[in-house]
Amino acid sequence: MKVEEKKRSITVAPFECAWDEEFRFREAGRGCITFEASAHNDVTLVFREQPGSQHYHYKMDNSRHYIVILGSHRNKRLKIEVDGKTVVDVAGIGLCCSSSFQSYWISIYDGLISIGQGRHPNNNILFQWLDPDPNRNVQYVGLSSWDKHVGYRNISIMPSAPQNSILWSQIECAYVEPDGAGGHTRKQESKDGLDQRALANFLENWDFSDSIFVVGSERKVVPAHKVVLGSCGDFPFNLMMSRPAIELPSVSYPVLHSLLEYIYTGSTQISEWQLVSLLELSSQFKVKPLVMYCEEIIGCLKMSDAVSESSKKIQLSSGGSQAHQFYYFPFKAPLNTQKIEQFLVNGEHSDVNIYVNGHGLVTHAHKLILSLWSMTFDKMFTNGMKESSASNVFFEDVPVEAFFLLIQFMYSGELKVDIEEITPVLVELLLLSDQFGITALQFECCKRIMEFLSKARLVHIVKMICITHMSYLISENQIMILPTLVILVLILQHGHMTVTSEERVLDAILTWCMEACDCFNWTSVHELLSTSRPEKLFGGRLTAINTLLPFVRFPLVQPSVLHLMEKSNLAKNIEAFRQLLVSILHRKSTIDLLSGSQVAEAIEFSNAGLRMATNTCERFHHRRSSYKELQYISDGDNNGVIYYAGTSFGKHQWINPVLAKNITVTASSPNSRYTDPKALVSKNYQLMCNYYTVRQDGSATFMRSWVLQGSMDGRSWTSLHVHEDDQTICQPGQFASWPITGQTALLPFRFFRVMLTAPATGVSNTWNLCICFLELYGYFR
Amino acid sequence: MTTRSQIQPLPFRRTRMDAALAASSCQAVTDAIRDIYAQDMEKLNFEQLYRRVYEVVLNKHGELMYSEVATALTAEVEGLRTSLVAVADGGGGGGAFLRELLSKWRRHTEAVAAVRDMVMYMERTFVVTYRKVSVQELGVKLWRDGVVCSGDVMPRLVEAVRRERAAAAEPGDLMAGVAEMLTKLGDKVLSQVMDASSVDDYSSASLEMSVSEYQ
Repeated sequence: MKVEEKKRSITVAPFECAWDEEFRFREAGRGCITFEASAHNDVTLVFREQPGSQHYHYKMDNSRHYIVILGSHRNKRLKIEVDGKTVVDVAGIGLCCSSSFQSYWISIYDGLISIGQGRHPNNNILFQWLDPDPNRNVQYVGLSSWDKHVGYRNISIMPSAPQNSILWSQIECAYVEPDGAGGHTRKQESKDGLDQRALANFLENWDFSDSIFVVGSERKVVPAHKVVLGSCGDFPFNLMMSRPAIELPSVSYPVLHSLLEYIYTGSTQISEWQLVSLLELSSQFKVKPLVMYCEEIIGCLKMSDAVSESSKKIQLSSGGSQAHQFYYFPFKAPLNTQKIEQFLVNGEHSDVNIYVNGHGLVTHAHKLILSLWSMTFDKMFTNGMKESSASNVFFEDVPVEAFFLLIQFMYSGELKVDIEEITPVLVELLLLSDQFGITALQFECCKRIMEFLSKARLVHIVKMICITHMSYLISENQIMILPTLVILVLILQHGHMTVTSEERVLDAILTWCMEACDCFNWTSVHELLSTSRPEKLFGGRLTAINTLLPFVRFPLVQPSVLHLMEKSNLAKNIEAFRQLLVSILHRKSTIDLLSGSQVAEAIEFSNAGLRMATNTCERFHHRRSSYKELQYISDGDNNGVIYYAGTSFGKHQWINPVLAKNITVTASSPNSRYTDPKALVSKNYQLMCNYYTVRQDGSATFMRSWVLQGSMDGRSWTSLHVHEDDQTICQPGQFASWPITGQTALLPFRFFRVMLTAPATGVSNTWNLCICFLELYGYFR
Repeated sequence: MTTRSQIQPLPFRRTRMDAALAASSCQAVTDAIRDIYAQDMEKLNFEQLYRRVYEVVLNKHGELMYSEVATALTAEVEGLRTSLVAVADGGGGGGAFLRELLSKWRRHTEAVAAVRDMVMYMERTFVVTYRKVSVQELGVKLWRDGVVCSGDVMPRLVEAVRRERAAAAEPGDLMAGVAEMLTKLGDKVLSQVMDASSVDDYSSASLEMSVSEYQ
């Protein structure tokens, strides 16, 4: 397998694995791989410290590794294995697709494995899993398979984005924690006191408490927070005392504890016989949800005639009535969020005044609420420095408007900015939320900015044009509608641009630079240049050519065409063009000479590695095509045109397309006992054929010299692949496949035929073409 | 598409921080560490210090900040060690030495916690990204290597523990405190002290008991 071939696509045979020095994370344990894959099932990726062999199999691996299998269990499940043990096995996500290439990305960051779809890491995330015992040594990626061929291509290794993945993991963990599962990472952290506090942590806690209950005859003192109590009931504190207090001499401590627990955590337990006192207490303070709840339960108990003196514990919880709230929002039922927002507006119960230097007072706030969101504020108010005892806190060097939005977000859980606008405030807010470690807000800002960017005007236009077929632009003389160089560059760079071949890109660039009304292709420009000078031909856009030419992905052009180009007048007259071609042809010939792939890699690196890494990679990537892409993976696979036509383009099970009249097949000799037609005609479809497969039938009459031809009209034929004394087929029933190279692979045809040009081997029937299977691959429309 | 939804240019408010400014911020932070160890935190301004750390790390001087903090902590630990040795030399029995050691340890852990709060932004970003030792762990490591395992504390500690054990049949508060500290420093130090200070089987068992009690 040649290196260029490898770059474009790799087909991994069953139970094999492809390794390459290139498929390696720059930093051990952290990296991201993006790739496209086409397979029936089991797109398998191995992550190891060292590369393995071609016949590596993960079931036999006893060193540490990660395995990610997309489409396991006959394309039904996603699986992650760690050192041979299955840790994740979920149904129905990240499945593979055999009819076309699907893009995926897998990122590993210190044991956090994220899997997603699409070309852009951290977008379209499908699944994420955190290894409790991270393997920080994985570095090499192996592309593997199970019982079917898997085709891979456009493989890129990138660094995995740390900020984003940390952001994700934090939100993920915060989300999982209430279920009790998967929260282990957070809980481990909390040992160091580095964990953000939930409202439940403040239950009967003296931190930030601004009021007390004096309960029972023993006068037990219980601390509380007015801002919390005030948001769910009416607590008349006696303000005459040094610290606002409520005396409850006739209430026992467990009842008050139940009430507070219910308010702070949303659920509580109480003995049956104390239920009535809890009802009395909650109605005294107008905690309405609890009052209703108690009454309901007492009603039920009366109905069932239960013994009221029983000490059975009863669970009271506020249910999921606030499901609409964001999961990261710290205030849940029974707290009234509108009241909390109100506290910010009227400053009631506030215990801290926030000042921004150069602006003055921003707002009256509550230490408790700020601490619930941000550990920075929590520590600021508790660690014993100046702010811990002061009631005025001064912030310097923060933008006031964004800072107020930040505080508003803490009280309401919403970002109160206009969605339609991306303002500097939003960016400032993003910076602030990072400064103070408010992950949820950081995430919200990112989301807003991304949403806006995808809607933004410029991107919108570029997308719209790029989705239009590039070749269409050329054929319809539309390339001239592009007014400026900048926009053309944007389109050429854009990942969504669709073309059928790189030559069309070159044609488009030349046409645009000539400011021509008609469409030119490079061969006609070559002819024009024999009589004219480039200065005359391109005029003012001569310099633009130098900018634009590097966007043609020359490495993807067929070598024979490259040689033609090298000899053309284009190369003679345009220095940039010549240099590009020479460097690529030189590279190709060097690689052809050297068999060791590593040497070739080294040379390539020295040639191209100095430029921007991403650019270099992109030059080898196929662009998208509006033609249906049917790529050869293995002999007898289901990716070819005839199979595709047989299933009515993927709609149903395979029916012989000849019977379904999608394809007409005729033979040169009349139908007989031995002859079933062998030439192939399609109705209105066109195929740019780049690979074909035939299979010998049961006889030993092997074809040796034949030709595959294509035609648009059925009269004039073009040879796609000429075989002369080809010894490939030597067994009955053998499959054989050949690539179609050269310019003909880029020409669309409607008719195809296989024609014997010399007698076949064997004793009899040497003028018979003995095949039982034919399949064509390429770009289909 | 309305004209409103256009990207407004964002004026870059933050200019690149030069090395001198970064160094002066680091100086402020190291001064604060000195004050924290001197238990003089009241006058420090958390917001100011946090913001300085944030700006230094944000402007890619995280390495400088981290090394400055590490150096300052090392210096403070060294200071605690000299004063501890001075107490031991100035007389006072094993009990007095242990009490002094524990009070210094307490002061150290409190200070480290306060320092960690101050450099929280660095801990959250720089330390994670570059896989540095967190300030908390650094504090433990410095105390273990710089104080407990140092040449002039270890023999005194072993001697004091032995004397204490021989004197009291039941492990008291003091021994429980020592055991707690040693457990935090890791099994290696714990067994080192335990083995060296065992007079006989009985007293070794008594320290083990106090350790297991703590655990």
